Amino acid sequence: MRLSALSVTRLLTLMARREVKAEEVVLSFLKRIEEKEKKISAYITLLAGEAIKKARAVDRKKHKGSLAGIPIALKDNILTRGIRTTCASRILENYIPPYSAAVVEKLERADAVIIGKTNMDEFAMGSSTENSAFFVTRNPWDLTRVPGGSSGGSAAAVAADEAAASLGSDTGGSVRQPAAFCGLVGLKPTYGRVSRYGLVAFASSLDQIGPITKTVEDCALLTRVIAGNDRRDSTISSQPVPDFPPEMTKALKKIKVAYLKDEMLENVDPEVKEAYFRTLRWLEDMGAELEERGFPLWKYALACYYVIAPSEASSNLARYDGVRYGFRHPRCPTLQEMYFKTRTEGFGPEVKRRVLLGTFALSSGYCDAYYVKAAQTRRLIAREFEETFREVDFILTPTTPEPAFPIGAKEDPISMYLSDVFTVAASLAGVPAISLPVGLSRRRLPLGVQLIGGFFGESSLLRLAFLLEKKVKLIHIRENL
Amino acid sequence: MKKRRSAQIDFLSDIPYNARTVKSKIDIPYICSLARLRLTEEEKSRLSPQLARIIRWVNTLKELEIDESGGEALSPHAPFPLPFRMDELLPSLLPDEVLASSPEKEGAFIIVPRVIEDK
Repeated sequence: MRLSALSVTRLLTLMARREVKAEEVVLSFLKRIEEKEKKISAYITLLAGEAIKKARAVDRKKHKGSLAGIPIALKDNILTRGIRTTCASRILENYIPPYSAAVVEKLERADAVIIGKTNMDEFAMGSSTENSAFFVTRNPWDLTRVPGGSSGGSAAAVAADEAAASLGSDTGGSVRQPAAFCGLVGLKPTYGRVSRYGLVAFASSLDQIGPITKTVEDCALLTRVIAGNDRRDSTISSQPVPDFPPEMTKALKKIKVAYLKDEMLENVDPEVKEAYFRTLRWLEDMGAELEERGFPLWKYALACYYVIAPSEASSNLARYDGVRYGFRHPRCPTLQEMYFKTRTEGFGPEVKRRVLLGTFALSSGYCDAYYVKAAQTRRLIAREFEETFREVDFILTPTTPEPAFPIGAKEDPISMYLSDVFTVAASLAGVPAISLPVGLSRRRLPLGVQLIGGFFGESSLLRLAFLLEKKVKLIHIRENL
Repeated sequence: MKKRRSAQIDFLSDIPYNARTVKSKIDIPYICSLARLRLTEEEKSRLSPQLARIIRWVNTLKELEIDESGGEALSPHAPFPLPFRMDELLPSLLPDEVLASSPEKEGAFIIVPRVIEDK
């Protein structure tokens, strides 16, 4: 039995029964990383020594936390005190944060082992991880294809058994889309469910940290640990966090699921569509009531997102000026020159594109036409969700319009942006959404569906996902990757 | 006394919505200067059409009729009341650790190019 192939839940059981030690678990993952990492390139920074040390400390501990000894990978935009955090950007290449993110503190309190920091699209801007300033990460299911993005390293690490689970961040689909591309479970919690303290800001009104795991149960476990109040995030909810793992196994009352009208699936890959309809049939078999819905405002969601997210990014990224975060262009005679040269050299093409787009959308004379209009559209989209959830319990969509695409296939920015067509609406509204694998294409590429729930509806989302998961058994196939 | 109103807001509100947004061509050098970015000629020739296409695509938002009298608020829709907390004094970050990532420093100070010009 290879320990690194097991789910978090299974590893916890083995460790609780004292059949294996945390150190053995971590060593098994490190061995796997040694075998796989050359091909996959999931990690920017590997923390082998620290992980072994932590595992030994966990083994010595009497009262262990709820994730004791579990090797977890973190997207490299989640701050780790004293450990380089790069956002896959030249501008943060040597940045050593003076504090850890709230989620990192929570993981550490739960005795999880941080095994490394994963590759991503620079500043989380992208859907393929090809926008990393350092290297391309490959999809473990097919090395010629992308793992998705922007949390592509986090997804690839888990899919290749290089980590038991990982955290990513989701602004418009960046946890859900790579989870779908890599055959994993990915949750974007309700905006305000998980503290953003220590998450490098991309678009603050949309960013949310979420887990990427092999099973729904693992997702429930991790969400339980990372969710909850934090005085340092002013947009967090003080709502109590349910105990997700037992909540997840509770029976689901009679449910109503909305599904998309045919015309919304027009440009969707036939195999993705097939998987989507198969899932709908499973839901029907489970006794769910299905209802077709049009969501007339969704066609504006992407355009709305591509005004709001870049606008917030252009403001958030103004802080990278060559003063505080590691990189400064060496020859800067004046302060202005330092800003220009540092930013011009430090940011990659997609970041520049979005900063310029956001600067334009916020600039005098255009702000009303773009930013204000998008903010208004966003409110309408949120209202459409509110109305929908008065009548149905869940919305089912494909997670992505197609399975993982080949590396280099999407050079045109808009075609890349379209990857998020089904995920952005939930981001704009702030509602939770989970992607779960529901099968493989004929080319053996994972296919995912997305369940969207109402505000703070993570428990029931996990419950339904748990039931659906029983229909799919991807985890056994994954062992051969 | 006459009520003073912002000239800019007057200008915008007097013109029907579409008319004030006809000019959607981006002035790239101006936007770059605002964003503190410089583009090479090659980048400019690649980025300009890309940005123009994105803007054209984003312009689909204009189809949406929004009843502005209803006052669609600008703040993102918060599903819960944002929390208040006590203003307590807590330990702050360690200066050495905060300064550790500064490219140039001296003692507890960050060195930047001179900002006061010679006369």
